[in-house]
Amino acid sequence: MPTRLLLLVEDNPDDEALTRRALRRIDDFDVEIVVARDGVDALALLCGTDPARTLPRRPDLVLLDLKMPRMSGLEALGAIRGHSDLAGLPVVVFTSSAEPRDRAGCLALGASGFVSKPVEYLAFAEAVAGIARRWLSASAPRAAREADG
Amino acid sequence: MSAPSRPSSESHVRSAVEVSASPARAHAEFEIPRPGVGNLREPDALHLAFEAERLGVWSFDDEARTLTWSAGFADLVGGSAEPGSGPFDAFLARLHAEDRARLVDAFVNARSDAGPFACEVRILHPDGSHRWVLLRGRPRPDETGGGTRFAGIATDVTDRRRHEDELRAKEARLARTNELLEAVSRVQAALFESDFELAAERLLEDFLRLSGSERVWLGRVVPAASAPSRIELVWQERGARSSALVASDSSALERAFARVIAARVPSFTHERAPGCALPGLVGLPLLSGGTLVGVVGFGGRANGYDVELAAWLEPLTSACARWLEGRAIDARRRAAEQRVHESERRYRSLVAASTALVWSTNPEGRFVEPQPAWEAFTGQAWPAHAGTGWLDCIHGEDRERVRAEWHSIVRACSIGEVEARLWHAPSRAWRIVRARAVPLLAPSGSVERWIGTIEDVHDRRAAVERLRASEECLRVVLRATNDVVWDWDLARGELRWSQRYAETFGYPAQDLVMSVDECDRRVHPDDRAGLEASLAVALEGGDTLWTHEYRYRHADGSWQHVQDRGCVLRDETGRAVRMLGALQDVTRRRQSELELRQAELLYRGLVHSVKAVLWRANPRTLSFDFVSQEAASFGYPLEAWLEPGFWAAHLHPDDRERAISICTRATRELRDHEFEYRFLAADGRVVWLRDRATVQVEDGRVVGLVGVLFDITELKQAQERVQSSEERFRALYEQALVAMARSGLDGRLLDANPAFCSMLGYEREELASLTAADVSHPEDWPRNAELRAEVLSGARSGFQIEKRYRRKNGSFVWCRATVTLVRGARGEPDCFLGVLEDATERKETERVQRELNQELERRVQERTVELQSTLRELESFSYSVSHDLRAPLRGMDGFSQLLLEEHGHQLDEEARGWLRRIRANCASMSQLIDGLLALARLSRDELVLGVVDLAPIAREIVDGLRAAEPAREVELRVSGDLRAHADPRLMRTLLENLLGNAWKFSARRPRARIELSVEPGPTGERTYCVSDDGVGFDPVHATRLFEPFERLHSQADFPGSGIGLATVQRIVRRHGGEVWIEGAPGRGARVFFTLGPR
Repeated sequence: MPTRLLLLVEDNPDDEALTRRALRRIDDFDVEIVVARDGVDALALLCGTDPARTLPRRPDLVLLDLKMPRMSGLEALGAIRGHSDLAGLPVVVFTSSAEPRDRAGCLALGASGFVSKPVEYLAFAEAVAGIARRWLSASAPRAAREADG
Repeated sequence: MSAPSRPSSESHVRSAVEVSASPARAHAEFEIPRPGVGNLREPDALHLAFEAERLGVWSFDDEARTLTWSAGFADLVGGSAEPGSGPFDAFLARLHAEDRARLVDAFVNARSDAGPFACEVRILHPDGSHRWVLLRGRPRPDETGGGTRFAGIATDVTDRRRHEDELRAKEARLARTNELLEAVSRVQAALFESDFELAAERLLEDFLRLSGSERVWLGRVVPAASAPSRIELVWQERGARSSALVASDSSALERAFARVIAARVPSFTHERAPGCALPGLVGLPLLSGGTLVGVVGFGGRANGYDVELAAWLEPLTSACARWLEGRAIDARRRAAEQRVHESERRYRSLVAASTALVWSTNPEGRFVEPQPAWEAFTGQAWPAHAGTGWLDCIHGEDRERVRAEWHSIVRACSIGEVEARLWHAPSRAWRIVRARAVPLLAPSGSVERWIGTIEDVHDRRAAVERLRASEECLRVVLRATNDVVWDWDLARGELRWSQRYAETFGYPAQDLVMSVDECDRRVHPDDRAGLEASLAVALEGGDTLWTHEYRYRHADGSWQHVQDRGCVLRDETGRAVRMLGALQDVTRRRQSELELRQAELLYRGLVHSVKAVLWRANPRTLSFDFVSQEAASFGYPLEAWLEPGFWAAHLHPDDRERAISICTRATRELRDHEFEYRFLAADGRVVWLRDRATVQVEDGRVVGLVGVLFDITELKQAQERVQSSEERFRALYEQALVAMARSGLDGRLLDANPAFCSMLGYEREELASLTAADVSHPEDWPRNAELRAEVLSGARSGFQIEKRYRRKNGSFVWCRATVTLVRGARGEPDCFLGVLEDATERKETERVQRELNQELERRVQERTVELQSTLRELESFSYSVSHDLRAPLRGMDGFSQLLLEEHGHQLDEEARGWLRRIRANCASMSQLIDGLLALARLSRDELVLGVVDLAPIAREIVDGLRAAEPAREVELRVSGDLRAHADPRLMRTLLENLLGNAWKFSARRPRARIELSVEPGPTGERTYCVSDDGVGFDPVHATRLFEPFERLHSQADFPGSGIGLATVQRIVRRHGGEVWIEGAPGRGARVFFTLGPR
């Protein structure tokens, strides 16, 4: 089965655990998850600036929380989109916020998608699965292809 | 490498490829009928495909010479579209005769080669048309060893053939065009050689070849000095190569050409050209700049030549035309040269025959050889007159002029003349001579040399000069008199005028002799009869002297008054033979008489129409002896004015003595005088009169008194009114409590009233040395000055200004000044009058108020800033709440669910129930958070107002609710005009909450009813109402319902967050409206709301 690499940027271990659980429901492909606890961590991984911890390859998707210590999701998104080596990298913002302002702000900054985390677990799991199917399945646009385009 | 080979599959593929690549062969293999079978097999798919392609399938049995065909083939051949067979020869007979042998040969060759064959043949159709058919096939030797069997297909290639034919035709045309272009270039080359014979020969050759004509010809119009011009013709016949030049009278041809040109038809026929037996000429006119220069044509074809050919030959003909034109120009130049030479020859002979002094010089105008004639006249020998030495014989006063004129003649290369005094040796005197020089031109156009003559014109000049002098004398004498002198020869009826006639009447000076009738026509028609009668009397009667006045026409059409005088000369018998006379223009005299008369009339009119009494009086008695008609305006008849003592008697008693004494004294002192007095009118009025009297003096003695009386009563009254107005103003000015001041146009203070002085603390005298600017605040003065300027420019009549005045002690006082412009008696600006009103108090109040306002504004500003920061804090608070409260809830819900899912089997039912309760609590808390956030957003987001119809929104919401709970039966009633001026998004939220509540609280009714309506509320505003027939509530709690989190029902009965109505209230208040609720337990609820005063 093909393996997809997901960079989960999430400070909350509970949300991380729930997300992992939800991804288990996907049986089309395996998802390998690398977790970054905040924006700084995520950028270090993406840019390979920390020799102690590196990504095996460019992730197929970055799932980005907004409210995080050190560097918020919004700042991280700006940094990713300003980085020429990371052009075309799909970044979906996955946040507790349902504020229209946040949605508009993220999309304006170049987020590939914006999804509010439902409180109810079944809805949450469905949202995670939906993101995975949309961005990680075989028919999803690949990062490299997007970069070409 | 290790792939297993599958030969059977490969060969299968190959054969499939071959089938598709060569349908003919495939068809032959599949479709050839078995021997003995007459017809083709039943059509299969391939067969149908061929039929669709209009392919005919055939087979040919060589031995039996039988042809078998398919339906498509039969269709191609033009028979009935049925398959069949028949003898080959019958088929052959259907072919075009030229193609039969070719087809047979193709069969023979194919059989011997045992290879495929192809042949294209024409098949004749019964209607006479034919179609091209391509027959392709291959021989198949009969297994029995008998004959050969051919099988193949036939394709209709008519269209392809047609295209090929067209292509060939186009190629042929192209080739012909190329040929033509070559011909053109050949002709042009020949034309450049300027060889008519050669060019004509080539041209005609090309024409002959390209036109296919039997005979071609070329003609050119030869311009001749005298009409008719000739046309030269050259022709050439096919094979004969004979050419000849034919001279002919061209007029008939030219008329024919002209017709061709006018009709713009490029053809021309001329049956019989004079002098040339060319039958049926067909020609193209050769035009150059619209002029016919030649013609080119053909002969011998039945119908002339076709238009297409003419268009074809167009480049040739135009080249030819240009060439012919070039030839014509050459011919003209040669003719011109010849004329010059002839002229020179004539000139030379003329010179030789002349006795005049003849000379010649080089092109530069210098003598280069001895001039015997010159030497004979001037005595100047060679080489003294060589070069420009001849100038020494010219009179010193003329020499430089002659040198200059001769120089310019030589430069201009044109015939010239010079007149000068030349030394004449035989008479040892200066003689006036005239020299004429003519340039002899070389064929190149340059001057070859100058030939000239010198003519002695001395005597002639002298005679002319004498004549001129005597004529001048005569002219002077005639000019001395202004009269126009005339001489009438009665016998000849001719009238001769002196030069003066032309000047007086403006006729041309040479028009001085005329017939009597002609002269009569210039006499005024009204005067003509009188003049004739008068002349008749003079001629008949004994009186020799005659005089008459009449009008005579000037050349400009005006009439001159003339006085004519004449005397008659008679012969011995007493018959009048001649009349001499002089005519004097008396127009001006007449004119001045007329003007005098008119002036008198004018004067008379003036005297009586002027609005004053003109009078004349006896200086001693002071009694009038003349008054003008205006005197009647005082009510007395004019005669009464003339009675002695009238004036004195009607003076106002108070003024009488004074008036009489002024007048008497002034008259005595010979002084003109003017005085005013009151006078008693007939109706008892007292009128004021101004009397202006002039004393008429002769030899120091008073002879008369004349004058004018003006009625100045109105003026006097006006003056009085002004006086009293002035006095009133003065009183007001002095005693008024308001400050007033007058300033000059230059700003200087003219005066001020006491109030003004006391306000500013100045004495009146002190102000006189100040200007308006001095007593104004420096900041206020510029505006004030500007307004003053605007008034002076007429832009406004006055102005008001609030300004500070400077007191003497330096302090300022706020005043409201009303300034007007005072005008003088004639309306001219005189001064400014300012009325001041103390505005200090008001100004102070204004200032305090302004400061208060500013303070208030500042406080509002501060509070706004505070409020904004509070709002921001609140916002960030609610944002954090939304984020941070949700995360733990999600954990609780998530892990509870996971516990249920993955470890549920290890728990008993009670534990699972508790987990479900945790999840239910999570859900309600999540709802609360959402509600709170929505509420917060309500206050924050900006209101976007528009026209919203609530009815469709309500229906939509209820439809949504029905979809969620299809089991419920709820009726929605919507009534009234539910259009509102509101924020559409908020209205939807509002209705969602209200209708949601109504839906929720009517859940226990089997058939519930919800209503949305509008009606005028207690204060007249539009009041909307959402009512239901649900459980209702206790009205005691009506106000609490709008507080957040207030609930009247248990969560178990009616689940909800408790902030729905709080949200509704927030929305309504944001629109400036009110919301209230009515209801009773078990009687449903009615929520009313308004949307502000709009």
